[in-house]
Parts: sequence; C-alpha cells; structure tokens
Amino acid sequence: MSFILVGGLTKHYGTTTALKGIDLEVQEGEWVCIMGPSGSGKSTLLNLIGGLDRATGGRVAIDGVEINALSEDSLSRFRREIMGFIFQQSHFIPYLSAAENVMLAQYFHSICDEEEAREVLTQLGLGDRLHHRPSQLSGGEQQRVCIARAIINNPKLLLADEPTGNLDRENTILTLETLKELHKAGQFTILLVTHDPFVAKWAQRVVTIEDGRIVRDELNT
Amino acid sequence: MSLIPEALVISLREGIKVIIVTILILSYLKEINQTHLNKAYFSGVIFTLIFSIGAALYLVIQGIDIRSEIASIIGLTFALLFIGSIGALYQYQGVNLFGPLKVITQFKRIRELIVFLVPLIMFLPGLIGSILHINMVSIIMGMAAATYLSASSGFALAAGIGLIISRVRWRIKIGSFFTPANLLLFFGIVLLIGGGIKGFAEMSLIPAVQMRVMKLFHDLVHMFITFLLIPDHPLIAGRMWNTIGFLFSAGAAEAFTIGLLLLPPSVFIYKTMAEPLPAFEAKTRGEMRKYIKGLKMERRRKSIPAALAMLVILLSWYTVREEGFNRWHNPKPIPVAESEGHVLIPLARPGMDVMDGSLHKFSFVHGDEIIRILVIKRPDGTLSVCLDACEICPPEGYAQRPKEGDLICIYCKTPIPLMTVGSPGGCNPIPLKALVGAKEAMIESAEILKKYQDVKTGKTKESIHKK
Amino acid sequence: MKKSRWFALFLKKAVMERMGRIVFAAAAITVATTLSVVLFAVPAGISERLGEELKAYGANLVVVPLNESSYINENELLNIHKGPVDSFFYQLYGQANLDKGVVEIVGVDFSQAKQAAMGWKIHGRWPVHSEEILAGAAIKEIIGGMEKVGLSWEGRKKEFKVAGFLETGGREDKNIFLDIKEAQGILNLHGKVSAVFLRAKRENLETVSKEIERSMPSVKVKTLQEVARAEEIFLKRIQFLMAFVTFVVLCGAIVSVSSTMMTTTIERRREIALMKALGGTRLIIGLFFIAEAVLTGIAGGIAGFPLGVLLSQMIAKSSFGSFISVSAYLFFLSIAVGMMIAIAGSIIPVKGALRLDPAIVLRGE
Repeated sequence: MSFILVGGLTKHYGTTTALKGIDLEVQEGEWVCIMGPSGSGKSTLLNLIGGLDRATGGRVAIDGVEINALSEDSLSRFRREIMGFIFQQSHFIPYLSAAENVMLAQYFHSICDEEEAREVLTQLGLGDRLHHRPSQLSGGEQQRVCIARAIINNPKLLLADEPTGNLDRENTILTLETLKELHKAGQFTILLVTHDPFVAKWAQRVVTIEDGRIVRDELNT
Repeated sequence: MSLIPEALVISLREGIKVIIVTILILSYLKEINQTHLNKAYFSGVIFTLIFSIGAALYLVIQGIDIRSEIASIIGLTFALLFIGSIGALYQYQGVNLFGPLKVITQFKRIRELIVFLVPLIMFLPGLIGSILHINMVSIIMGMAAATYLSASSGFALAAGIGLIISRVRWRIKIGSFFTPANLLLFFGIVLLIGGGIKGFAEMSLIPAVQMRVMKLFHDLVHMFITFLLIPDHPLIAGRMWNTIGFLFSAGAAEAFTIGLLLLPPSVFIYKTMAEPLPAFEAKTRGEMRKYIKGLKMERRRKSIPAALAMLVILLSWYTVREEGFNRWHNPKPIPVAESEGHVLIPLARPGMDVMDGSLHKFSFVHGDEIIRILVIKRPDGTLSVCLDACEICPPEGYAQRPKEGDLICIYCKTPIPLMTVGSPGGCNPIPLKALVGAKEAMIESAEILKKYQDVKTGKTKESIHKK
Repeated sequence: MKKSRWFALFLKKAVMERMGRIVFAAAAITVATTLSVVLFAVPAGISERLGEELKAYGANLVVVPLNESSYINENELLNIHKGPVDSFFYQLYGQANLDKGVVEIVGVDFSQAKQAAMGWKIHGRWPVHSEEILAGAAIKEIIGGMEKVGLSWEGRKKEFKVAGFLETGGREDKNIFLDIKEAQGILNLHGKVSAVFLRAKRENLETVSKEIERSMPSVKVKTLQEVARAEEIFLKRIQFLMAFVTFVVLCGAIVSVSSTMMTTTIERRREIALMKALGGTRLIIGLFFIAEAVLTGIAGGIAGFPLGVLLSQMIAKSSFGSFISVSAYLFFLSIAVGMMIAIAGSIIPVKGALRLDPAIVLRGE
C-alpha cells in the first residue's frame, strides 16, 4: 500500500479552483519534489496533504489514515506523530531561543528533552547557537533550526514548502545536503515543494503541477 | 430540631454509599474485563439489604441495642481497609506480600465470592446500625410512621439518583483510575466520611478515630514510662508528665490523627509517582519520549483517587473540627482564695449564678500551681462540685456542649451526661466533698489537694492497666 | 526539562515580551478588584441610632421632634402618661470635648435607665451622684485608668467621676452617659430631650401614638417596625448602589481585557498557526493564552487588595467616624475576582483566534 494516497483531490477558494483533481501515490521512503510555477497549486497540495487545510473534494490517506475523516484536534494529534514541517518563512516563536523552539515541537508531541534538542541542533552545526533568538541567526541557520524542529520527533513524513526560497546558493546547498543526509539515513519520506529546477534535481522523483493539475511525473536520473 | 429529617439524611447517606461503591466496583470490573462478576456483586447487594433489614428487625424485637458494637465494627473495617490498601499497593507493585492468597484468587468461584462479600463488608454493619438508630429516633419522636416514611424517602431518593447516573453515558472511564490498592483506599474513605450511624451530629468517623488514636498513643507512652521504671515519686513523675504533656495536648492529638489518616494516600502517591521507569527499548528517541509520556499520564491518573482521598480527609476533618472544639463552652476560671484551710466558692455574684445550668469554673493558687474546680447544676437541681480533671486523662479539664448541655472531656472528647457528674469513676470529673450553703460552697483544701495529687502523679491512671 | 517547566518558561517569556500591554490590562483589573473589596469590606451596617436603641431598651415606640434638629421639652413629657404607657425612658444627645478629642454624650435619668436598659453590662457600678458618669467600653481605651474626666462644650466645662464602664456591643460603647441635668447644663439645652423611648402593650400602640401626637404637636411617634423598615430600605439602597457601580466597573474591566487580548491574539496569529502546524490542539494552545490572562488577573487582584482596603478605611472613617476591620478572606476574593475578569475577557478573543486556518496564515506574509 502506498504511504501517501491522493485521489481526485480538488480545492476551491470561492470562485477560484486551486486544484482540479489530483491523483498521486508516494511510497514510504521516497523523496518527491512537487514543482510548478507560482500559483500552480503546489503549496495548496502540500497543505492539503499535511492537513493544514481541508480539501473541497477527493481524499488523502497517509499511512492508511483518511485525513478528511479526522476532526481538527485529531488531525493535530495525527500531524504531530507522523509529520514534520519546514516552511519557507522559517516561522518561529520570536522570543524563544533556538533550542526552546525545537522543544516546542517536543512539548506538543510528548515530553521535553533539552539534551536531545541540543544534540540535534549540534548535529546540524548549530551547537554554539542554542540560546540565540531566531532574529540573531542567519537565514541558513534559521532554516536549519526549522529542520531540527521538523525532525526532532522522528516523523515518518517531512513536508517542506520552498525551504530554500529565501536562501542564497550556498545556504541552499547546505540545506539540501542536510536533507539528503537525513533521507539517506532511511528515516523519512520527503515531499518538497519548489519552483526551482536546481532544487528539484536533488529529489528522486519530480511531479510537475500546472494550473491545478499534474502534467508530469518522472523519476530523476 | 426535629429528628425526622435526620432519618431521611441517614438513609440517603446509606443509599449514596451504596451508589458510590457500586459505581467504583462496576467500573473497575469493566476495566479488568471481569464484567461477568457483576451478577455476583448485585446478588451481594440484594442479600445485604434483605439480611440487614431482617437482622435489624430481629434486634428491635429482642430489644437488643448493638449500635456501639456496630460503630466499633465499622471503625475496624475502615482501619483494615486503610491498612489493607497499603498492603495491596505493595502487592500490586510486585512485592509478594499475600503469597498463597494471590494464587487462590485465580479461581473463578473465589473471585465471585470476594465480589459477593464486598457489599456485605461495606454496607451491612452501617445498614443495621442506621436502621436501629432510625428506630430509636422513631421511639423518641413517638412518630413511627413519619420517621420510617422519612427514612424510606431518603432511600428512594438515593435509588433515584443511582438510576439517573446509570442512564448517563460517562465519557470518563472511571475504572482506569483504579488499581486494587486504591480501590480499597477509596472504600476506606467512603467509610471514613459516611461511616457514622447517627445523623447530622455524627456522620464522619474522624472524631472517633481521633479519640482512639489519642487513647492508644497515651496508653503506649504510659506503658513506656512504666517500663522504664520511673519511680512514682510525686515530684519526678509530675515533672516528667509536664514535660511530655504537650504531646497530649488537643492540638498534637489532632495533628497526629490527621497525619495517620493522610499516611496511606501519601504513600500511594509517593510510590506511584516516584517509581523508577521500567526499561524500554525504543527505536527512536521520539518513540521513547512518547512512551515516557504515556507512563507519566498513567501514573497521574492512578494517583488521582489517592489525591482525592487526601482532599476529602482534610475537608472532612476541617468541617468536623469546626463543630467541635470551638463551639464548646469553656469558661475562664474565676480566681478564689484559700483561707484557713478552706476554699470558698461563691454561688452567686452580679452577672454570675452557678445555678443557671451552665458550667462554671473556679481556680485557686496553691504554691506554684493553679488548681481548677468546676461547679454545675445537675438536672435534678442539686449542685455538683468537682475537680476540673478526671481519673484517666491528662488534666485538660471539661467543657460544656451548648447544644446537648452535657459536659465533655477536652482531652478524650468523652461526653459526660450531667446526671453522672458528681459520681466518681471513668472519665467523670473527680467529685469533691463540699458544704453547699446559701451563698457559698465550702471545700476543705486538704480534700482538694489530695485528689489533685492523685491526678498529677497518675496514681488514678492505674485504672488504664486494668482496662 | 519537565513539560511544566517549559510551559512556565514560555509563559514568562511571553509575558516579558508584551509587558506593557499586560500592565495596562492588570491596571484595568485592579480598579475593578479595588471596588470589589470595598463593596464587601464596608459594612452594610449603617445603623440608625433609633433602631438599635429601640431594640436595646425593649421599647416599641419612639417619640422624636418633627424637626430633626430641634428638641422636645421636658415639661411636655407629662403628656406621655396620658396614654396606657408601661414604661418610658428619655435621652439627650450631644457632643462634648474630652481631654483628647470629641465624644458623643448621652444625658439619661439613671434610675429610668436601670429599669429600661436591658443588655447593658456594667463593669463597676451605676452612678449614684449626678457628678458620676458611665463610659462606654471603647472610651476606656482613651481615658485609660483615669478616675476623673473633664467634659467641656463651647466654654462650659465640668469634671466627672467615672463610676463604671458600659459594654453593650453596640453604639453605646462609644458614648459617655451622664445625668441628664448635667448634660443639659454642658450643652446649654436646659429642659430639653432628644428622644423618648416608650413601651406600650401592642393593642394600645395606636391609641398611645395618636394621643401623644395630638397633645404634642411638635413631635412625631414612630413604631419599631417603621424605623426598622426605613433602615432596611436605606441600607438596601446603599448596597444596591455600590453593587451597581462595582458591576459597571467589572464590565468595563472585562471589556478592557477583552480588547487587549484581541490585539494580542491578532499579533500572535502566526504563533498560533505554527503551534497548530506542530500538532498543538486547540485546548493546549488556548491554555497558553488563558494562563497569561490568569497571571494578569492575579496581578490585578493582588494590587487591588491594598488599594481596596485603603479606600474602605477612608470611606468608613468619613462616613461612620471609625475604622473597620477587614477580613483576610477579601485578599483571596480580590484575586478570584481578578482571575474571573481576566478569563471572562479572554475567552471570546482566544476562541476566535483558535479558529484560524494555519495554511492561510503560514503561507507567506
């Protein structure tokens, strides 16, 4: 059975239709890139798979669980068990330190473990930035804190929405190498949304969306 | 106040006890997948109800009043439940205390028997005692029909509440909060709060528990002193008594009793929360954290009954405390002087009349001690003059209960009916030979001093050993 | 780090981050809690002298001048005996200077008082000479162990001997009782009395009242019920007014907290969306905000208590001439009211904020 199963997914915003019937299957452990121009619906698809938004029609099943059938709070609980999010904007709690922001994810999941948070951040090269506020970190560093927060609870699925959108080339490569290492360790299924073909090349498979529909779905060689 | 509402309160209380215990048992049986034992429980309830009514009827017809024995049984049951809960706690946590007994409980019939016996142990003495008390009330009021109607309404009301509760769909799984240990603890609490057989005046067992604890403590210390062969010299024994006397003050006794009652639930909470986490092989740290969270939540849940028990004990003690000590009439002694070998007690003064039915106290100084004398009019109109001390207890003296009018020993809280004041023995104040005139009562100092010395040196307390 | 510790840390940092706003909200709450304390602390017992004394003397009628500031002539009192009166007892009220401060004095006929005044506990003895007085128990603290005290008013002065102290638990404890002739002398009100307390049989009450009013046109006769009822209405009005004002201020505080919370939740909607994305349920996220609100409420409550006590004392001193004792439980009441305001003001904004769509908020603003 596929790890992620999307069938006939549609999403309307008033009179606008963002998704016009998406069918997609992702196996466990795959790194899939969803590519497309601005306004194509790629972020919408990611949000619907991640349960951050509700579809107008169709279904999404993750690890055998029908997302649409869950209540808001059940969805939140499911999300914290199974998924980790990496946003373009690197959303943080601005008055908490890097380590405390990572512990926020632990707080909702189970219990807080400061040592574990420290370890993960150190592994990502942020050992001397633990007590810095996000505003005191560079763009690349912020994104790595975001990654740390996303992986701290060992989720099965990583959802990244334009994670390198605000980074320069150097930091983009750094971020992607981090993701590659994590993927190589065999822990995650990654769904990454981007408009940048350079970023898309890092994935195993690229699904191209245009105007709310999948136009191409091919493996990267 | 009419005693008829009291009959309603008594039967309502018994009914609610049945409901609480039933909810706990049924929830617990559901939790451990033993719902086939429900039948055994309900059989026990019906059997208990019928037997208690039958037994009470028999006792009433035979004219046997065993209410004080029943109170003792309930108290003993409570003590056993409380102590037993600690044992069960250790058993549950792996310390094999009960050994062979545990093996027996594997048998289905034995389990049915145990569940059948629960209502008998929990309800039978209380029901019989309550019925006997209600019967007494009906005799005092001379209105049997009204009293029994009131009692039946109480029971019917409880039954109605039970019916409503059984219809409601409960979202919380009550059974998940309990283990055998804290189930026993909770049963103990139910008895502690509602184990009295009288009505408004005596719902809770706490005063009775306190009395017994104080007596036990006092006896133990007395035996210890005797064991140490401390000579019975008036001076030495008196000094020693004064030194350790503070241990027997009402405050110390209360603190000791509450400490004792709070001990089992505190042990529960401590043991439950402080238990080291069992080893667990987790694939990821996230999984490990989840496991720890699950364990912690489970522990918190299992601690809730014990925490509730502590709260209930404290609340119950506080309300009972308010009723007791503070409302008693304990007048400040009026100083009188000793002259020519006599002490003169004035019988009337502006604003004071010893024949007004309330307790009056006088004190006089002898050397460096203050000796108190109490004076009170008995129901037959005669005046009673006694030492403000009894043969058994430390000389804290007596107070008068405003509602009942009788005297009460401040130390051991034994009520002394006014008619017996002036007769020697037991917890009664030690009578003094006094010459009661028109304006004064005259007592020989020597008489007072002799009786007082006996009190001080504990000579009169030899009676404890005989008990 | 324990979850509870992290929660406390998060709360602390969140509060520090918007301290100004929280102080503002706490100030609004403080105003409300101050008034709540005053409402309960100021005793609703503004007792009219007449009502208390009527009951104390076992009287059921009182004769007072029609014009409240004038007096009844002693020689007119003969008219009172015309009706079937069982007993009566008259008094003259005034003020005099004691060595330290002003005290209310009451001129009485002590032989009448002995018969009529029930509930008077005398420590010492009843005065036998006209130069002897009875001092109320509260006066004892002022004059100490002095046997003689000097009373003066508008230049007239006289020394009196204290025969005993009087304890009733009521207003009399603050007065000095002296022979009526002496009182009339000091106050320069010869032949005058302020009020007459009567006892008549219930069936004769109306006849006695009518008879007195007919023969003494400058007086009015009130029954115990009338006096008590008037008192009650007056008391109720005061209580109602205070309660109304407090309620209005409470509502204002709730609105103030609500608007502060509204601003806060709008500002923090990205945080809320992020927490939802990280798997926080509405309850857990809501608790963060409510905890902040509760802290604010507690701060407001703690600040409101001493202010409320101060205000209560000022009111009591100016209205009743004495300070009041404030019960310690009002401290907890103040905190409870503060918390209640904070929670009430926060619920709607927080509930609204929790309904937001994380996807829209996190999309990229």
